[in-house]
Amino acid sequence: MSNSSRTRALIRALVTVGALLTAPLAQAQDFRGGGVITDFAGCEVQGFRGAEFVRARLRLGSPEGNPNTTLSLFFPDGAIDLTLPGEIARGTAWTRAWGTAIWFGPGNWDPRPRLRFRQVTPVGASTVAEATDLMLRLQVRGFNWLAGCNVSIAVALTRA
Amino acid sequence: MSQTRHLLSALALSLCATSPALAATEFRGGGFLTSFSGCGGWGSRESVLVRYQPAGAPENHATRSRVSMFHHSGAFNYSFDFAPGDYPELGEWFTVSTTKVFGSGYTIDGVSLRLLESSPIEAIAAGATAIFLAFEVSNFDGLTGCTARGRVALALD
Repeated sequence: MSNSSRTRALIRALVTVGALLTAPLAQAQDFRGGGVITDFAGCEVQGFRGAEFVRARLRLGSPEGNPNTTLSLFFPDGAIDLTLPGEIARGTAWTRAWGTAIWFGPGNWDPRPRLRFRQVTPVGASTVAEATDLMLRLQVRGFNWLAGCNVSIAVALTRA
Repeated sequence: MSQTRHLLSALALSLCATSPALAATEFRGGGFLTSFSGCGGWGSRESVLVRYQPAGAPENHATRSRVSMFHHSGAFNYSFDFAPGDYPELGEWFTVSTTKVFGSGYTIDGVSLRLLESSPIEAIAAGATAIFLAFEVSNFDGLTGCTARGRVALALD
């Protein structure tokens, strides 16, 4: 084997090891759990009321990969995806997000919803990216295609 | 005959109006169980849906709290008796009456719970309508030595 062949083989090995080392980290940015949608206001036409309990999944955005963060909420008879650009952080400003739902069929919310996180509590670490658990509260305006429908969501999640 | 029908209708309406299921103070939500240890076939984590009727709240039992936890293929109901003001401290284990419905329904002995981080009783008494709970369960599913921990987000229905 020539020197250049050995160098190429070494580079391939390093790339493989690097990929193996970083793959679990990328995969570990998924969380699962559940929670509740509540404080329905202006949503009467769709029949939402009280406290709707949901199972939940969260995929964190990352600068290295997909920058978008997606929260999925699962009802017994439907599912909702809320996707927002960037990472999650507590704040007062509203962020334009994307909403997708599957009820009778799939569809993208139009108008797009806006949301803001009112509580972001990582457990087991000081940052969301390293947390074992997450407790999140967020508010959504324009829930499920309704421009005037506002809700609050609280979820408890653990790293998958 | 007509009077009888009216009487029965009135009775039916009054029964509907006083249905305990409609009148209870209930928190609903979901979360997860994880960190199973010594639990046989229970895996790494379970997403759960939860109903919680705290004792002493309007229309609820004075001392008996009820928690139902719905897994993907079955459910547990935990209930426990404490007078308001006489609840265990945070981190203190307490025994719960447990009923399991997984294919068939039966009671389980020896299950204990303990609450961590924050007290729902204090939060609810202070007027909170949405709460997070962290807890551990011992002898989960009636399996001696099996422990797990969980966390749920709940809101007043």
